[in-house]
Amino acid sequence: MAKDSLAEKSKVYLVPVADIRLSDENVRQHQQDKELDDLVQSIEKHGLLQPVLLKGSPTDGPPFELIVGQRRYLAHRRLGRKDIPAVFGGPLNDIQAKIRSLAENMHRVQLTYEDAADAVTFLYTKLGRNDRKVAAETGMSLKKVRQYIYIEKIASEETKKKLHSGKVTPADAQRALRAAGGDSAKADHLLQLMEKHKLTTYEKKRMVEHGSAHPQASIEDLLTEAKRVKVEPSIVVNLSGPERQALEQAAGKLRASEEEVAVQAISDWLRDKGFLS
Amino acid sequence: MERKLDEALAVLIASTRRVRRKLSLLQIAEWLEVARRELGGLQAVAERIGLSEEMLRQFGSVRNLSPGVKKLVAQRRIDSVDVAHRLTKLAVGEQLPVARALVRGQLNSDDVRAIVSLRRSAPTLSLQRIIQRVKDSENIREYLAYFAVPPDARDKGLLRARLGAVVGDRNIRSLTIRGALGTVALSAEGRGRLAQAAKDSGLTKRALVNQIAGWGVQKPCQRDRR
Repeated sequence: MAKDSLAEKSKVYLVPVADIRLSDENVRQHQQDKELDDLVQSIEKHGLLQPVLLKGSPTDGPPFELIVGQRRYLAHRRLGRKDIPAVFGGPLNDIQAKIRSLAENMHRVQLTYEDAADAVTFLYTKLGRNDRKVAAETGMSLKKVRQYIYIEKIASEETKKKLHSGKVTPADAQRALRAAGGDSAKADHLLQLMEKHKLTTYEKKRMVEHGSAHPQASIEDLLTEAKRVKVEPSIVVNLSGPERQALEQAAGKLRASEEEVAVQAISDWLRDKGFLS
Repeated sequence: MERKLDEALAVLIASTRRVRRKLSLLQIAEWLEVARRELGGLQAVAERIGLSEEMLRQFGSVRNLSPGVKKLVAQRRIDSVDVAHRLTKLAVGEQLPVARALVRGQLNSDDVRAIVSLRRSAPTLSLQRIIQRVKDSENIREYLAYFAVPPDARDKGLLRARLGAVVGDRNIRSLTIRGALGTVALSAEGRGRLAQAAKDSGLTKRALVNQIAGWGVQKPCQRDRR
């Protein structure tokens, strides 16, 4: 039975384009037409290399809901094609459909910040506000999931607009919010100053450090502290071969520097043992 | 054709997850291109070898580096996929100066990230100015080494002179002795000189500091890999 179902799900059907409707569960809701020309040309030249994913089964009858492959579908429409290769994903509920769509689209370049943020926030709400579950289901890093949730929850409309237009990076928005202690108006101001003074990554980090330690710090203080170079003591420790290898692997996997991972590990341990609040 | 694809996938499985790789990033990127062509897209490769498309895209981006930087990657003087990928985000003409400074040890991977980020927000600033801004804004590193001080060698002046002879007096930021525990704070240059002296003597840095502290000559030991 399971085997039949698997075979059914991987079988490719030629489905009339006219029988397909876009699903609300598709995470790509903005700028769907962006850079569609390249895809249109590619499909015209090589055909469609990967079928689109539809909800339900072929026996359900039209209209079929498109879960994954919106741009491929739009390209087919633009080319005036009558049919499109498609696979059926079975009876997916809205959460499963959103997860499939996000997981498929997340690692592509074209997914906008707005679409990704909307989808992550939707799943976070539907999955019992469990950020780890969202990360596990979508294959995104927990850090990234938390960044989306944090920004969506706290950032002002002004900051969100800047994020949507690409004027501000999510990392900077998060830094500004953290430095401002979650005060969205103060964060807006800090973002403007970051841009105006062309702060470096090191300066932004110091701004966050100072803001986290002094939630009442004024904007001027935060900027002054950001620019104040500090003496940073580093403790040299000897690691055994396996420990060193594990650290390298963790850094590679988390795409962070070994030092960042070591600092995080020490900080977690100190907090866990009650030495750090 | 099938054999070529199998070979490419095997190479990618063996090379993309490891920290210690046998192949350079450029070789991996070339095998990735073979697999991508054969399977029709990066997503298909990602599915076959169980790695994210995003990670593969980073490996593939090495092919977009300028020729000079590619040479450094081929020689494995630049061997981090993260660093190589970040370098591709700079204009072709700006990649090599940054890569060379990285290879010479004048920049580290955090500096490269900071340079790429600042370049994005300050497109009109010269590259030299960008690098200078990043370096000037970096915190000053001090390297702390702890060591035990023998009971008969707790003369701070003498200890400082002995340390200074190895690392240079100006590179000792501070030296404290509390009972049997000594702490020395060195500048980055001091740490480098200590590491070089330890290497020359076939000792670890810690063993050399202990020797300077007055514990006598220690047997040369197996150096740690760093």
